[in-house]
Amino acid sequence: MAHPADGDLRAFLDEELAASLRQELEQHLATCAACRDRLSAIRADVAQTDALLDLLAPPPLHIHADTVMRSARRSRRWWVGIAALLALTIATIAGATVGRPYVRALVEKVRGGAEQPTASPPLRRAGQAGIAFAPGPTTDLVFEARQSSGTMRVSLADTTDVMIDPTSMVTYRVSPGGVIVHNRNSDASYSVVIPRRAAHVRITIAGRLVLEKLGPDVTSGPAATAGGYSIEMR
Amino acid sequence: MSREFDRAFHDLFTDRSAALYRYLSALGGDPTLAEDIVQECFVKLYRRGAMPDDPVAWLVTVANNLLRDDRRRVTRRERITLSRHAEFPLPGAGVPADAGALATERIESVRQALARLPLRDQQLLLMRHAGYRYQEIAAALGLNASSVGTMLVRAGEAFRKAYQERYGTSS
Repeated sequence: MAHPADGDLRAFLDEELAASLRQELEQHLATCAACRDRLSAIRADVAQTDALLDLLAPPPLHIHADTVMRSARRSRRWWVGIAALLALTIATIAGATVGRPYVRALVEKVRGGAEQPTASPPLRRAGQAGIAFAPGPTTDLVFEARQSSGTMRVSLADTTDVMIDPTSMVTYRVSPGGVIVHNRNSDASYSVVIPRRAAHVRITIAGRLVLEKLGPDVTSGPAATAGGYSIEMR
Repeated sequence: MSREFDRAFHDLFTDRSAALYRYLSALGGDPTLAEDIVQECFVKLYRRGAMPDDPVAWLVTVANNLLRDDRRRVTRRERITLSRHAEFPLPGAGVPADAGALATERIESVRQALARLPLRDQQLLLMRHAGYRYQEIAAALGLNASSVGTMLVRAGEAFRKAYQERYGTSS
């Protein structure tokens, strides 16, 4: 075997050489001091490069497969709903205009398929377990009404999901744009956790903006107290 | 979405998300952005509903495109930020600094040395450092797998040289 190229020596170190080439190279190295020296030099270079690049190691990754799958399903449903609605509109117009049996059949078929994805998501109840969902580009947490008592404690955390944890049962509805909390006649207090990396989050009570987070900063809301923001539900 | 696809997706995420994150974080210099891009890549893959022929290359290609798009978006903002930073002394510009500042300066030197390489060489070095195999690197970057070793040697030399010019030593 002729003296191997540097690239082959590097591939040898990375265990990327095909078995036959590897064996050939090992035999050559056993008899060639110059190539052994070159291999040592490349090994040292690789170690030096790796040591420098190790400095760029990030903190651990915090996302999980299940969260990603939930998030993908949610946005997929939204697109399917829009697409189905569009198809229904076109087919209805076509059916009304043309009026032929096969067009009517198509309209009926599309109607049947479209109703499910465009239907409003069901009301849910949040008790001790609370609500958790992935934030979108802009996420609105809408509390429908003022309450006679109760406070909302908002904190930012390195989580992936927005979490709302009420002290007593309330109903809510999650939509692609956020969540509507039906808190009329409730006296619950709420713990709200917003992911630091959520791009844009707004919290309103009875239509009044009480807190807004844009990028990393809370741009509107009460003064921060230890570990968060306290908002009266009144 | 079939159960088989869900299982394959879950396995792929478990096996490959951390490497993709390490690669993107080093390439873009922003772990938060890297995490967002990893999530977006996997969301896109899940919405696709079927595995591509080469899922690893597909993920890296999508991630590289998302990172490139983000860089274009922030170019103007970055200019403003840099001009504001210029009002403050850079670490190491004055006298002595504690260990934390020295470490920060060293990390910055590594970033600057990397930034002096062509993008392809940065991607090559960082993919390998994140643990990608030659075949995966070649597929993701459109290279011939048999030339990856040679390109890694050259890119590594250029990187260490750039670092030494700034920092004086690479040890």
